[in-house]
Amino acid sequence: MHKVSRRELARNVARQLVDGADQKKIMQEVAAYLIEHKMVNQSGMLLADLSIELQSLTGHTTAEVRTAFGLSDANRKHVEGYVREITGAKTVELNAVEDKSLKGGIIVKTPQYEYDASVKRKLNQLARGEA
Amino acid sequence: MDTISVKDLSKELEESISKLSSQNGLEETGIVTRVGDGIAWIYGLRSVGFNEVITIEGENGQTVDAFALNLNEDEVGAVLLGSEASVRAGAKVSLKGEVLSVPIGEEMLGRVVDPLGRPLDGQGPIKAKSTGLVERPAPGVAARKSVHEPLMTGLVAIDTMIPIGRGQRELIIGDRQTGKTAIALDTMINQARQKTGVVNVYVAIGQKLSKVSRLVERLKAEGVMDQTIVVATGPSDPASLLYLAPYAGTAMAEYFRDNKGHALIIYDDLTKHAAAYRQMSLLLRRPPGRDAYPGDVFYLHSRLLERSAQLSDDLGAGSLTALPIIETQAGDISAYIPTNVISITDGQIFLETDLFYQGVRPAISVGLSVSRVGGSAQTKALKSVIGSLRLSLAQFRELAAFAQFGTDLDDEAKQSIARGQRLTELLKQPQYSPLALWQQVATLLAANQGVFDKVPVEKLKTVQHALLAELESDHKKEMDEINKGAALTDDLKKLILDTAKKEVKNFAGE
Repeated sequence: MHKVSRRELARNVARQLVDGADQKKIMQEVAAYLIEHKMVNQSGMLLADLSIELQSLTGHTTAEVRTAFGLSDANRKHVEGYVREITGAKTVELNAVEDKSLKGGIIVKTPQYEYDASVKRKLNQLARGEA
Repeated sequence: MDTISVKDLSKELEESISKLSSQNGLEETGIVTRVGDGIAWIYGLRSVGFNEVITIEGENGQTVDAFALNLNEDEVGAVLLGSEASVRAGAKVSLKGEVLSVPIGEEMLGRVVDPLGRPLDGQGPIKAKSTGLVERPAPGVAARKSVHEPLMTGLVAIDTMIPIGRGQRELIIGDRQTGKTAIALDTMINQARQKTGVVNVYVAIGQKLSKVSRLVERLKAEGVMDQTIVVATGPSDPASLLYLAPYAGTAMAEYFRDNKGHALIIYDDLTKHAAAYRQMSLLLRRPPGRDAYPGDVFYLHSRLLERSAQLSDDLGAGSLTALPIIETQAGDISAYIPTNVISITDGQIFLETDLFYQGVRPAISVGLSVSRVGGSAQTKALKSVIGSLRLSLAQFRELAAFAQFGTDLDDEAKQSIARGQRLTELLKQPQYSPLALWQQVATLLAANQGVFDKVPVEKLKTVQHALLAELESDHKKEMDEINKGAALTDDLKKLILDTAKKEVKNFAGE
C-alpha cells in the first residue's frame, strides 16, 4: 500500500468519520496501516492531527486547561469563549486539570496552540532574565 | 522566600483568565520528536516559516533557540543554535515570531562577536540600537552603480595588476599556508593607515580560535580594531553557527553600506562554510549531490556574495566590498566549491605554493589571477605608470623558463629577464607593510623607466627604501598630491625619476 503522510491520513480518517463511517472499523484499519508502515510510535501525533482535522470539519475542538487550584463555572465559560476565539471552533470540550506545579495562573492547550500564563513560566522567565 | 498565599494565587488565576481575550502569550506549539547531531525534529508548528526562529524548552526552564530549515508536511527539521545536551524528545517548542537577526550599528565596531551578535571579547554587552536580518535580499539592478572607486590593498602586485574596486567581490584562492589571510589582513590594515574610512568586517568560519585571537591582537596593535568587527566561529562550534557566520557578518556590514558608508568584508573561508552547510544538509536528510554537497550549494554562496555591491547615488552611494577566501587542495581550482565561487565573484587572486616557498610573497600567480571590474576603478596615477607590467612579467616568466635550458639569449631577451627579475623583486612585500599610493607609483615609475636596471637584484629593496624615504622626507607635499590619485604630471615624473637616479648613483658610489 502506498505510504501517505500522517497529516493526509488524519484528513482521510476525519472525513470518513464525519461521513458516518463505522468508528471502530476505521480505527482498526488505521492501526493496521500504522503497524504495516512502522508508524506505531506516531499514533499520538496522528490523534493530535485527527483532532485538528475534525475541528476544521465539524467546528468542534477539545482543549486542556491546567490550573493550580481548579476552575469555577464562570471561569470555565470564559475559557471556552477564548478557545472558540483562537481556534474558530463552534463548540468546545474542556478538560480541566489541577496541576499544583504551576504555582498559580493558567495554561490553555488546544491541539495547535498554547496559552501559558502560569506563575511557573513567569518564574522561569525571571530566572533566564527575560522578564 | 516569601510564603505562598492561596489568596494571591487565586487573584493571579482570576487575572490570567480575565486577560484571556488578548492574544498576548498565545503561542503555536509543537513537541520535539527526535534530536541528535545538532538537529531537532519537531511535530506541530504548522505555520512555521523558513528560517524562522523557534524556542525549545530544555531542562530546568532553560531554553535553546533553533531555526527551521526543513518544512515537511509531518515534521519540521530545525537546526539548534545552542547545545543539544539540554534538549529532550518531548520538549515543548514554540515559535518566537521572528526570523534570525543580529545587532547592527556603530556600536559593533571594535567588538568580537559570535554569529548571533553575542560578545566574545569580554567587554560587556553590546548596546546596539537596531538589528538587521541575517538573510536579506541583495540590492536589485536599479539600486546599483558600476564599480568606480578603488579599494587599495596596499599590496603593489594587487593594486597594479589585479585592482579591486569598492563594491567588487574578489576571491582569494590558494592552498593552505600560501598567505590568503595575510592579504586580507594587510588590506584591512591599509584601510586604517590610509584613512579611507572603510569599515572592516572579518568573518572567521571555523578558524582555530588561537589564529583569530592572534589576528585580533594584530589588528589592535596596528590600530585597526576601532574600525573593525570580527565575527568569530571556531572548529568546535555547531555547524549551524558556522553556516550563519557569513550572513550575520554581511548584515553587520550592510548597515554601513546602507548608510552612505563603505565596508569591506572578508569571509575566511567559504570552503569551511560549504562543508558546514553540507553537514547540516546531510543531517536534515536532504539529497546529496556532487561531493555530497546539497543541490543548492551554489545558491548558498551566490545569495551571500550578491549582497556586496556599490549602491547608486540615490541610495547614498555606499559600498560593500567582499574578499571571500577559498582553500584549495593541491592547487586544484577546478574542484566543485572553487569553480562555483570563481564564477560568482568578479575575479580571483590565485596564490601558488611554489611561489610562496621561492620567497615571492605575496605568492600571486599573475597568469591565473584576474580582476574583471577593478580596472575601471584604478587610480589614474597608477594607470599612468604601470604600463605593460603584466605583459612584461608574463614575458619574463616565459623567457626565464626557456633560459633554464642554458640557451644563448640575445641582448633584448637578456634585458627582458633582467627587468623581470627586478619587477618580481619589487612586487615582493613583507606582511603588515602595505604601501601608500605614492609609494607604489614612485617604485613602479622608476622600475618601468629602467632606473633600477643596473642595481643588483639582491640590493633592489635597499634602494627602493632609500628612494621612498628620500621622497617622503624632502617632497612630502608632492607625494600627498599623488595620493589624491590624479594622473602624474611631467614635473612629478621628473622629480621621482631624478630622485631615483640620485639614489641609484649614491648606491653605486658606496
